[in-house]
Amino acid sequence: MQEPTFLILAALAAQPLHGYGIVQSVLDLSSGEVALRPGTLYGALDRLAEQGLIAVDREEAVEGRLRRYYRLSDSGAGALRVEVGRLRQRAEAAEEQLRQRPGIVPGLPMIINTGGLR
Amino acid sequence: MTTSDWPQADPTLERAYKRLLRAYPSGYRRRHEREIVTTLLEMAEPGQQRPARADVWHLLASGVRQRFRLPAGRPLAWVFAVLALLIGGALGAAAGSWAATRTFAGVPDAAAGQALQRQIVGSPGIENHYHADSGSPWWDETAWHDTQVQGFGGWDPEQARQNLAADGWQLGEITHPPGKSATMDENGNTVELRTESNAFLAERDGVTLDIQGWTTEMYGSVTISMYPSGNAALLPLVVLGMLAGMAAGWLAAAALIQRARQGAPGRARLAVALGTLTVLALALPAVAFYGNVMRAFRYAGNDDPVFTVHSALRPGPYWPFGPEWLNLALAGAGLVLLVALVLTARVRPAPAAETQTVTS
Repeated sequence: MQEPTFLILAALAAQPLHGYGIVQSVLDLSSGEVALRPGTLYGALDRLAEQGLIAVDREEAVEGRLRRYYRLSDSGAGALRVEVGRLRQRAEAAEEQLRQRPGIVPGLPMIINTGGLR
Repeated sequence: MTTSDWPQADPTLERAYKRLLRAYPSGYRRRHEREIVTTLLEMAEPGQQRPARADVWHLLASGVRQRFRLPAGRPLAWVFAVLALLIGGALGAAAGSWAATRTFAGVPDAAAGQALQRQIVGSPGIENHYHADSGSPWWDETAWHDTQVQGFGGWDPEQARQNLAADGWQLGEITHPPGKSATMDENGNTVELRTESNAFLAERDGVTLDIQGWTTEMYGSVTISMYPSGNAALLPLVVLGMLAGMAAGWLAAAALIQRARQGAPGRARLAVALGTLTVLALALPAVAFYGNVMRAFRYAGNDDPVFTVHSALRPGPYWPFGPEWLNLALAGAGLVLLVALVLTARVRPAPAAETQTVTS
């Protein structure tokens, strides 16, 4: 799952949102790193709706403007949960790798193996 | 709920966004234009009057990408789109080939053929005839002029070359193709005759003459084959046509699939059936076109008549099976089915979701 897709699903997990609401939520969730552009957003929403991961919740219209609210479907929530688990596993594995990095002992200065000390 | 938090934008900006959204397919615009414009206006800076340059390119690129996009999780849609791409490429290559031949010189008509006969043979001979050939499934129209002459003195190839050169024709080397002539004596035995053969090419104003003379002591014939020399436009136009046809095929398939999905289930099933029949009808002509593309490249620059792609529609023994007009009939049937498919898929979708109006 690509990062924008993951973030859109995450944004919709808590409540139904319209396009601009999703953009803002994704910006918050990514600490300002992912600013979705409308073309990307609606391309993703179309695809996710086709896959049944999201659905249109309701629409609001005023003076020619339209806000369409999208909600996470049950299968979307399931897919998000699976992706969260996968990412958590990856993060834990990476953390473990970092713990095993030679020469780094928390609280102690770095030990440099020069090859001369045996 | 109030209208106070709804975007109040400059009408110029709104119109500019709507213009940019024309890059999207019409069906997609019908479903999403208002909400995308609303989102774009909500994202706009206060007082902004025209879209940012980055937004312009982004929307144009997104719209074009959307036109090529197929629905997710529909493997049959991919199969249909790939077949449409291949068939579109074949039709495009044929169209490019046809367009290129419009720039070729015409085949000399009977009067011009007669004038050439006089120039090359020097006399009417025993008899002479002009023949127009409507071409074959591999090349376009040609013509030839036959002259029966009397014996070794009946034709002087050197004189013919001098006459042609004086008239501005570029001449190829003279060759002597191997061949034999024979007759039967009074006892029924085959007697080989001394045979002279002379052949050369001449080219002027985009027309090639392939001149061959065969003479024995008693009898001879001179054949002048006449055909367009072709030009450098053919292969580039074939390739350009093929690429444009591929893109058009994919785009058409993507649009038809999306429209069929938006329509009623009955219409969608009809569209699938018509799409399948269209692909089946156009498959064989498309293979024939691709075969001719290979020939056009393989024999490019040869001294023979120019191999063209669209010639596959000309009746002839292209396939070792079926009638000679098989490619033409299938292509015609395929195009009729395609029109029916387009008409079937032209259904405007009904609005899907319930919309509530916000009051101020």
